[in-house]
Amino acid sequence: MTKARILEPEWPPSARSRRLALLVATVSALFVADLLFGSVRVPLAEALRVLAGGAAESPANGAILLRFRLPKAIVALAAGSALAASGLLLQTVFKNPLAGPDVLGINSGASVGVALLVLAAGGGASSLLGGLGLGGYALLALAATLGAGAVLALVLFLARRFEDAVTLLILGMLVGYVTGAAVSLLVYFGAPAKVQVYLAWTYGSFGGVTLRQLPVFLGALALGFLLLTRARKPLDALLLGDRYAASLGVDVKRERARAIAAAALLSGATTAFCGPVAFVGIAAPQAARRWLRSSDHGLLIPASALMGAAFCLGADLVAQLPADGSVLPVNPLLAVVGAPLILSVFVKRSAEERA
Amino acid sequence: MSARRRPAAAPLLEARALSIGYRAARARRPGPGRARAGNGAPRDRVVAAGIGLSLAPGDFVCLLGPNGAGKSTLLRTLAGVQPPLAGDCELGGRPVARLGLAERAELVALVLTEQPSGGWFTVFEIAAFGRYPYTDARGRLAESDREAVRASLESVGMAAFAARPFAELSDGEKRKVLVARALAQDTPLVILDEPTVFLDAPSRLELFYLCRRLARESGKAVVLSTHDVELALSRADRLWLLGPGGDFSQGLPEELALSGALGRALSTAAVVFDAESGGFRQAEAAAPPLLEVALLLDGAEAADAEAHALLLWGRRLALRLGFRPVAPGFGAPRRLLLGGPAGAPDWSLGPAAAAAAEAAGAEAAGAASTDALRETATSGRGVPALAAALASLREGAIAGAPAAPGGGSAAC
Repeated sequence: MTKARILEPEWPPSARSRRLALLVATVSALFVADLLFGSVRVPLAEALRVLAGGAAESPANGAILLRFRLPKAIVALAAGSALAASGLLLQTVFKNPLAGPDVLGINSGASVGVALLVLAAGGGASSLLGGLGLGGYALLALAATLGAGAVLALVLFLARRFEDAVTLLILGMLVGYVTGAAVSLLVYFGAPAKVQVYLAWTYGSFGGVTLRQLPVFLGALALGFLLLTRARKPLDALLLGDRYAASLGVDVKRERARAIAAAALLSGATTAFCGPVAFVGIAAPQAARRWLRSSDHGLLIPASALMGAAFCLGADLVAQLPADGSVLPVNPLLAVVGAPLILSVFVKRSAEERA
Repeated sequence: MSARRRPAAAPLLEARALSIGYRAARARRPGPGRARAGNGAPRDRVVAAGIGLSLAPGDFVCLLGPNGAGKSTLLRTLAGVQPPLAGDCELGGRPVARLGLAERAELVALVLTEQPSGGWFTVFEIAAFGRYPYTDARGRLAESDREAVRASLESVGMAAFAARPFAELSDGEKRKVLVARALAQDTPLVILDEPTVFLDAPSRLELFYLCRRLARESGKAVVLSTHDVELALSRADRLWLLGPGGDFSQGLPEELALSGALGRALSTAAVVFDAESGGFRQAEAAAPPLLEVALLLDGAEAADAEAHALLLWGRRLALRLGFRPVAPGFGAPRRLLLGGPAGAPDWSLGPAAAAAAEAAGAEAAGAASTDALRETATSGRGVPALAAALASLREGAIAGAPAAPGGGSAAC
């Protein structure tokens, strides 16, 4: 037949690795910047010395760096990675670019857990939470984990029963509505002070995880990422459609359950420790796909994670901007950046489709 | 075309008393999980039952049937991606249902009717999915895998598109890439569900030739479902027919055409498959009555290949205008002589031609009069002239002989 020359891909691997390297550099720069900037500016040289194990010039700076900023930056990095990876998995499994951790109702599950703890618990618990001490955050995380876990269990149970991904998507939304209703009822009847505490949690924050809790958080995320080590190949195949994937030898139900479990673990743990951080899960995988022009999960899982980390570190940096030392809530910031980004992706795509 | 059928070869695919369709929704069943045998059966939607078929290496089979007859369901069941309702289906001597997913992927490759969007994957990457069963856990392609992908893209004529994003291709091009993907999977059985949809006519033919070559040269068994009846009839080694009621039959294309099975499976109330012409036509009830007409070649040019092309297209024209072209010997009452000066083959109708027709008619059995021709004869050349002659023939026949659709065809 036609003796056509096979063209080199327009996007050689080198172009992709350059862009990936640029992403790594951006995330590293944002990470360092997140350590330096805040209500107190720490000079770069001092920060590096402290991180290397040396003594700080002022003990206060040392404490701020190690006790507060370093955990916060690590949490932002990890949370962004986890949410983005989770969003990528759900977008693949549901073949829907708008899928994200929110759609399965995992965030809502965590919200119910927290709302129950904060708003409905007895006096003892609320006094414990009054100043949001260390124990208070631990309790919050526990409640959120339990809530997210309950929804996760329900979703996994349903995922095994239902073939159709769209059914699952709808079920996730319905779970979200029910939990949302439960939360708003709790808020309606809750004492104003308690509502305040709950609302503070919903704003999202990377600063709530202490050094002691950090290993738990990171451990949960590591487990989630571990589930993905052998998932890249079947996930790619799932993009062809379930039947094509099955004809290639993919156990579709098992791979889907595995991806959902990983996604739920990643986003559930993040929500438990950082509050319901929105938009990263949807926008970061989109941005990663567009930046690398790839659908290859071997590339996209790390790239989305990096993209998500960049989003969260960036948002945390912007949150420190107010000169008076107050800190902006992360969630609205991400929404302000994330929503237009998602919109631009879709406008651009539909423009391309029309062309 | 030497028939390379090997009747001794063990069948690659064999189905006995196969019943295909869709299980009743699980939620309605008595217990959660596994179905209780028999209990829920009446709720299952049976598309076709009692199917028996076999397929040997080297077979190229086309599956024909009307929309909704269950062609896709049958193909998916044979490929093992959909469980049968009852009966056995064996692939390589083992029940399809009991094959491991990975084993099955090395035996059957599929092209489905659904068209994946392709995301950011390139044409090469999509075709490379065919190597999925053979690559490592990270899906890395060895050089031999790349070679197989390139060869399969080349065989469908899409090699030049390898680096293009799949999503940017036209529907027909996507189809070809999906076929290449199935070829890259390198399986003894290839099942293609309507691969010719969206393809232009040459590409459709190329695909049929490709399938036949795969069967002949690589010894693969190829099953292809299509609505392209004429292509299937003229190119397939054998046909599988799935009629509207789920009636399954198989055989040589000609055998099924002559036995009427093809007509039963494919005809509808308005359109029937006509074994005489090998194509579809309007059903008798809906169509105006057919007039028989014999088209003859001028004796001088009867041996000329171009003249035969004339005859063929003359018959097609007559068919399209509502005539039934019959052989001159069958006592057709109306005859038209085709011919023209040598070297410039064309339609030629007129007294001279009519005289020649008379001579030819005298030799023919059943010698009907050429009066009809004389009456309607017009001088003229070219296809439009023939069309005009046929039209006036029809008018004359309707005005003069109301009784007569096919009136003189007693000899048939």
